[in-house]
Amino acid sequence: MKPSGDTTIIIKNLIKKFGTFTAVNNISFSVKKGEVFGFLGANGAGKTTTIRMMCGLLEPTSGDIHVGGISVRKTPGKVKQHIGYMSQKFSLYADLNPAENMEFFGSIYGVPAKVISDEKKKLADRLELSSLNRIKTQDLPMGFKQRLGLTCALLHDPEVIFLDEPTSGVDPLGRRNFWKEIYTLSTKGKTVLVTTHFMDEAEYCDRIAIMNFGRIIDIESPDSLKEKYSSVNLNDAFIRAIKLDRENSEDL
Amino acid sequence: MTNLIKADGIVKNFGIIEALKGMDLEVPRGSITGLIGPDGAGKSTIMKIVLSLLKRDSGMISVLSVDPDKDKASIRQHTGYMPETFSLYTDLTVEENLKFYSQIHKVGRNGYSEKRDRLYRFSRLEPFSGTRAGNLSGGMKQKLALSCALIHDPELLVLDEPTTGVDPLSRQEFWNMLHELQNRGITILISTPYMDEALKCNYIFMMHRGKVVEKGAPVSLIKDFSENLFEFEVPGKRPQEYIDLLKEIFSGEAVFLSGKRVHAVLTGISDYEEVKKRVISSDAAFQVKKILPELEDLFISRILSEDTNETFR
Repeated sequence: MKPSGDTTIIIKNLIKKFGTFTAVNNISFSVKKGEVFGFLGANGAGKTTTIRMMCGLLEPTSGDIHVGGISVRKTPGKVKQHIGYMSQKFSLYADLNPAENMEFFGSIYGVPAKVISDEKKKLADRLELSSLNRIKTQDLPMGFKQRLGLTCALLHDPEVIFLDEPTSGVDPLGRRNFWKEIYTLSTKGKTVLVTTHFMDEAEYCDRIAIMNFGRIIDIESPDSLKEKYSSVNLNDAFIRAIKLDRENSEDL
Repeated sequence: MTNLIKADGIVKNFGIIEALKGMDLEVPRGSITGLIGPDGAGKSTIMKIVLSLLKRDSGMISVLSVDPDKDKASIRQHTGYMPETFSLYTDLTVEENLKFYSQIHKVGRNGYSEKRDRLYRFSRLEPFSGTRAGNLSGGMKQKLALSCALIHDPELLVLDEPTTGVDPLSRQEFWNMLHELQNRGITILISTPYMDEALKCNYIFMMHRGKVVEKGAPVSLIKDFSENLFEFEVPGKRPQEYIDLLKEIFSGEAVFLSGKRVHAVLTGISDYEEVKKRVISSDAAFQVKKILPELEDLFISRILSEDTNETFR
């Protein structure tokens, strides 16, 4: 199966078992180029396992994953060039300075030195810092760290970007500026996959997948989800979706 | 109602970083009081000062009628603490963790089994008593950490972002447990970045960069919000597409994203017709509503007046 022109991610009948435990239980979905796709679920629902398989970090038990025209199962190493990954908590080296972080992430993805130095200049201008060498990353304000993390994840110009709880710990203004930037990326054709526990942020997604017990129980736009579960907001819709699925699972 | 915690003008610096710039805090006995704000606002610092884990540089504080710096033993005996990072032993089982915490708090062997059983009924963790803490789901880890913080029957429970990274349903279950504890007379000081949780507190302190920018009961804060809040929407468009236009029209005012729409706190104009006229002359598709604020609107309008240099750019 080859993705068509406007589909960046195709997941088909994906299963992952750890011993007798089925972490991901036969899920299928696709994500369009330029789409902002929210990946929500209870803790332990299988989100992280799915994302790790999409990044080629974990081998599926069965099923197919295509990202940017690459079969992740056949060539898991190749997919990394097509994916950028950012997590507010883990993606930067705290005791390196911002310039060193950019050089590190640039070099592991084989980004030309010229591109890295141009990006450094752009970042320094944007943050109004005279130098990116004089401060350790851990001492940057939270919003600056977040911008640096996003810059590092985008250095190799990937088609897909994974944002794993990207705004955890960020103040409400910083979170809004971040989502404005995400929108800009999506208009430039980047496909964005995001996990978050802030349900007001999930509103910014074009579509949302909700996972429970390793299965996808809903894939809808935020508005259709609210309508489906007769909820005023997504927090409420999420809670109803998971509760209903649990009740149905117990009936079986 | 008497205050179980009363702090005035607490200052705490770490080197050149001013973590608390003169913070006042009152926590009424029997209340759930929330510290609301992003990382770096000073929430954990004030909690550690309350718990006698950190010394203040200056200011006055009384917790359970004692000065935490002078009577650490009494503070430790009567407070339970759930730190920000998961602090239990991941290679010990649920039961072993409970036993360990009962021993460091000198609960005594006889009292222990009764307390354990009561905590099991409360947390519904009994079926997992033999499971290693590291193998529990996120929501269950929180319940175990809460149980361990309760093993010595504290009067005051201090919970530092217990629900960060936890899904909405587990968060709801966790809050049901907190309300149960409140009904038993336990006073709770909790920090959270989630505004829906702030609404569940009796009192909140909204914190930003070491200062309290707003405090009170959530409902009264909303009721007393005196500024004019407007909501803008263009059907079929994402809010990011038209927010810059609105910022231009209302330059100098607080204009920000709110889910699928844009909100603006307008101080210059309050008249609905006037606001509508201004935006419609730029784009006829604008829909305008004058609305009541949510806590997030209130928080943003308070922090926008502060220096915003450190946010994402």
